[in-house]
Amino acid sequence: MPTNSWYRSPECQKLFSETDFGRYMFIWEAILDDGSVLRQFEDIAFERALTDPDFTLPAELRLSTDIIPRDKVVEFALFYTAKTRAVCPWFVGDCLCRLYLHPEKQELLAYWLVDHHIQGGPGVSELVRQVVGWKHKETGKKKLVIISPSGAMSESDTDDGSWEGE
Amino acid sequence: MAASTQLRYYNGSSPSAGPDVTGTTVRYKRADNQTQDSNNPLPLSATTSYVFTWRKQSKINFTTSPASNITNLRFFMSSVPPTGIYFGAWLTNTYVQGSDAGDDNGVTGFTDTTGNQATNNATNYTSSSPLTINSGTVLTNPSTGEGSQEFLVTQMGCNSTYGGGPGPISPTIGLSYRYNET
Repeated sequence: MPTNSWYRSPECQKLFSETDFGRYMFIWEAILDDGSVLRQFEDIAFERALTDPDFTLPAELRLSTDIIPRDKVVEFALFYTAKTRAVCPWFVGDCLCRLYLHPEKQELLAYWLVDHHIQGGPGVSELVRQVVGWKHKETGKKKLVIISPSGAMSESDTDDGSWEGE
Repeated sequence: MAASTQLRYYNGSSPSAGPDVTGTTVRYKRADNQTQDSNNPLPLSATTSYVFTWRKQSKINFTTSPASNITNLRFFMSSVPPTGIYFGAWLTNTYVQGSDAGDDNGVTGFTDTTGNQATNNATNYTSSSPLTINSGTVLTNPSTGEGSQEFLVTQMGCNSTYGGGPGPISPTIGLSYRYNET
């Protein structure tokens, strides 16, 4: 469980309560090789999430990354919501990461990595990290970036490439 | 929708699930119940051989459906036990009710010998090298419940090198489940 003192802060506690333990810190957008765009939420909710810090995302309308045809993605981005930036002002900018993929060689990987604790850490019983990356179509090798709500990031070649403390 | 999750321990002969223990403490004792009390404590061992609590068996329960899938369910220790405290973890499809006859001196085949204790030492399972409960799909929309997973069996032992006294272990032991959600 995280030992980073940031997880004890009021900002973290508020962020977790407002974003379901970090699930809705970011919203994703995928651009396919035919130019079409897929988003985690339909356009009105997506735009409001980016601009209105009081807007709560309608979680029941969320689209899973499993709807994305993973072998046709040329670009994938995670955007901070306005609420995330309002609660944690040190998250500056609009976009945390943007992946450019070669659909003929790479498949998108994108999911939540959820830690569920029995003994609660410093105010944390659940922690949701964002994982984005790709799998090479021929070799099966993976390259993943794991992003914690604290802003810490780690690279990994496996699904278990996470860490404690951040 | 995001999946909402509970962590539940089982007891009884049937067995039946106890309350959600997410973010709380769990009482390891020499009794087959989920009650948070000081009854049936683990005695301090007089030797360097471990004496044990009764086994506890747990599963993670999804009370709302994920938007798509829950996959790759894993378990690990997020903080290690103090000197003199042993913590074992393994998987089973066959629930066995905890009892004094089967558990006080270690579960046969899992914690009864030093070799088995080393094999099933939960400190082997870290966040970067967890115990894989189910590497595939655990639960698919629109389902709720436990999906496809085995019981995680855990058991605590104590020997004479433990420096603490009655009551909660200090520093506390951290146990975590991990899964992928889409």
